[in-house]
Amino acid sequence: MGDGKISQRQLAYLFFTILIGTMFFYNPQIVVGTTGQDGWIAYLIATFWGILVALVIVALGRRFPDKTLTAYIPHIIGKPLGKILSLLYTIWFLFIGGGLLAQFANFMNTTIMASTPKMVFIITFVAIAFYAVHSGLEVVVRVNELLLWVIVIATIMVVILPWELMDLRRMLPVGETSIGRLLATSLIAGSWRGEVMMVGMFLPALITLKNTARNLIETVFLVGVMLIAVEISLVTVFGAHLVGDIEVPVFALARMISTARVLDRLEALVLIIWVLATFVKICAFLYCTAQATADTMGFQESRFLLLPISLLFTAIAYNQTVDPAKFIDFLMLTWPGYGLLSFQLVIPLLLLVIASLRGKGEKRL
Amino acid sequence: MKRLLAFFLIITCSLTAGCWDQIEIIDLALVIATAIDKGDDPDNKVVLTIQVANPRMFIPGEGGGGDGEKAFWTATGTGKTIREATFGISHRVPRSLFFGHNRLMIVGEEVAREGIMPYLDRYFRSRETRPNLYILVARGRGQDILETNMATFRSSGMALINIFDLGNNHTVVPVRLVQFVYDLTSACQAAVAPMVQVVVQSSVSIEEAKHASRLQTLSVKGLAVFNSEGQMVGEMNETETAGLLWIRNWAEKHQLTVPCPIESAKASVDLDLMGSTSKTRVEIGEDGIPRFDIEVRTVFDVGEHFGNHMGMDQSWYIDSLAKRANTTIAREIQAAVSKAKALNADVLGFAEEVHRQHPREWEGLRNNWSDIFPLVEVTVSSISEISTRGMSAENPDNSLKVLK
Repeated sequence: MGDGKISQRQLAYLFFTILIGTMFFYNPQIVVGTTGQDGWIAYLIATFWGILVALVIVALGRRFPDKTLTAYIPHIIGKPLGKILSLLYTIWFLFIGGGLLAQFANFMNTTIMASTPKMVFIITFVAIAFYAVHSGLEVVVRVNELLLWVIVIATIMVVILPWELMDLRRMLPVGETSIGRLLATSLIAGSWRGEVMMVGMFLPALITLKNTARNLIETVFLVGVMLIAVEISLVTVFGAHLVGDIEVPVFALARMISTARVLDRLEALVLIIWVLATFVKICAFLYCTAQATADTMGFQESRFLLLPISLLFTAIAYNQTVDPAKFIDFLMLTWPGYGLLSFQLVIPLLLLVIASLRGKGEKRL
Repeated sequence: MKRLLAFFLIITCSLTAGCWDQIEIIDLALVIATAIDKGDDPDNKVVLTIQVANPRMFIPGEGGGGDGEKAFWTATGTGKTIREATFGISHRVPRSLFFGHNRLMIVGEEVAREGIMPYLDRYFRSRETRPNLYILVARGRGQDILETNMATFRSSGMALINIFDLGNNHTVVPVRLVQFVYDLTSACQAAVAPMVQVVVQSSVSIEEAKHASRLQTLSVKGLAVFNSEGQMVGEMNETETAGLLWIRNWAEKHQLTVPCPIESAKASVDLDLMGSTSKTRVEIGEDGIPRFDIEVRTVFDVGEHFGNHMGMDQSWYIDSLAKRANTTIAREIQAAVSKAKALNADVLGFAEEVHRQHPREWEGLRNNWSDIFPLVEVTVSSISEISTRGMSAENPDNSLKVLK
């Protein structure tokens, strides 16, 4: 969108927000619920998956430096098949973005604004995101440069402030969970980290591709460190067997804060993280969907697509209301299939193999 | 376009009155404590009593109780669930009940003995109640605790909250709901909660003595022990509670009274705890039964020497005090252990320690822990140190006595 370019730092910041933003809301409930106090090992493996995704997508991007992911797919596997895959990616962006919005509205309803209609949250967010993306990608990344620090500081506060209730011995024993279960859980956790795949849509907007892989790996790793900190804080405060039973455990963690009887009732911190990060993520998904649609359909310009796509986001988010048990089931059983096992890791990896075998694109690494 | 947008924004902002779910604080009934009991009516078994703060009383310059409005009042409702009982109350209360400041959950003894599990769900599911509230068990009915008119405090609920906010104070052990549920659902499958009872207020003014109803107050004493089913199976007295505090490394403000090394029968020396740490080491014996070695390290200050002779200037005397402290601590720990074994409720956190230190062996013990726990052996090694002797070196009236 627009002709402006973004810097390496802005890209890294953007993906930091995208990766950390929403994943520690429903994710710890699932990860700690299945692996107990060993959740941090699952997160460590998930970090490895994330790094792998980043490496693959950047290697692909280096072969087609001026094209987005959905634009170069037909160059690799031929036009008819490539267009279909591009379309599938477009639909992926659309549905995951819409789902994110639905999840946001659901979270607001679950936690503090129980009686506010979902449509209020959805429309507000789509409207703001539309306005931001319509102004250009540079606007989004610049806003994010400000928001990221708020998110990081709020996260650190949520993690550290319940220290009075922490019992570090609850992290023991280490390595009780079987390797198979850890790997399976890491696929769930890694499917959030695999969203770094979206960087394929942003690479052409970069001023230079130098150091992109290193920066993204650092981002994925730092996000992993923060998630492990969140997991440790949750387990030491609640105990591993309790975290799986709590809806949105991070919010519960913030509710526990009562430090020195001064810092009290700091749930707002979690809401700050969630609202700001959702905003940035919706912007990113809106941008990706519009760009992918334009690429698939062969349009030169994508800005005019933003309005219809925003409406689609609204419609999908509003109609994606499912019961909470189904929602967690989706995240546990279906999401890894949509994520790491297909669109995030496996398909890009296959594309990379095919591209290098057929010698497509530029061969510099 | 921009001007239009700016105009639209300004109009929107100025017309918006507030939040969607906004309620004026004056219209809120701030629930500060809840009590649950069992009712006689078989259809409505849950009896919920709430203690409510009147927000009007906390606004300076208004109200002030002039027209007979009380700062705190209680209300009771019944239902099949806690939630239903809550709605039952709201039929009679002209304000919106708000549980966000509920910091106390009192469980009636009957409910506790029958099983507390079904009553916990609402406290975790509620958007308003926080799971870090204090849980305690009433001797008798919880309703009576909240309805007690105390001479020393405006509200019985606030009084109990204040007691618990002081931390682990001697054998008063504040237990938060998360800690309670953690213990109950962890490997130990047993938990404790402090007990509270209505007692007669010992010192009152003459005017207060005229009103017989004001002669009551609350006393937090002892611990209720819950088993894996969430049923209260017994109580721990103060000695056993002290032992539990040492084992679980919870002791904060604590005090020991040990016999004086010179005139053991007549005089006592009081030792105040300055700091303590305890570690539990687990060894699995050849018969597969774990053995526990509890090491307690403590530092004491001499708080009082209730006698009329010298001694504090002698290093052997101080050493002897430390040894006596060791003996007392070991006795308290063994008392707690034998009580826990007798009730077959692992409130000492032993199962968690086995799980942490011997995860492989734990797999074999996990399923029959309730058979093994009464058989475990516990050894205590206590290392006490007396670092200071308060602000006086000796008793004031010791001038004629010369110690050899």
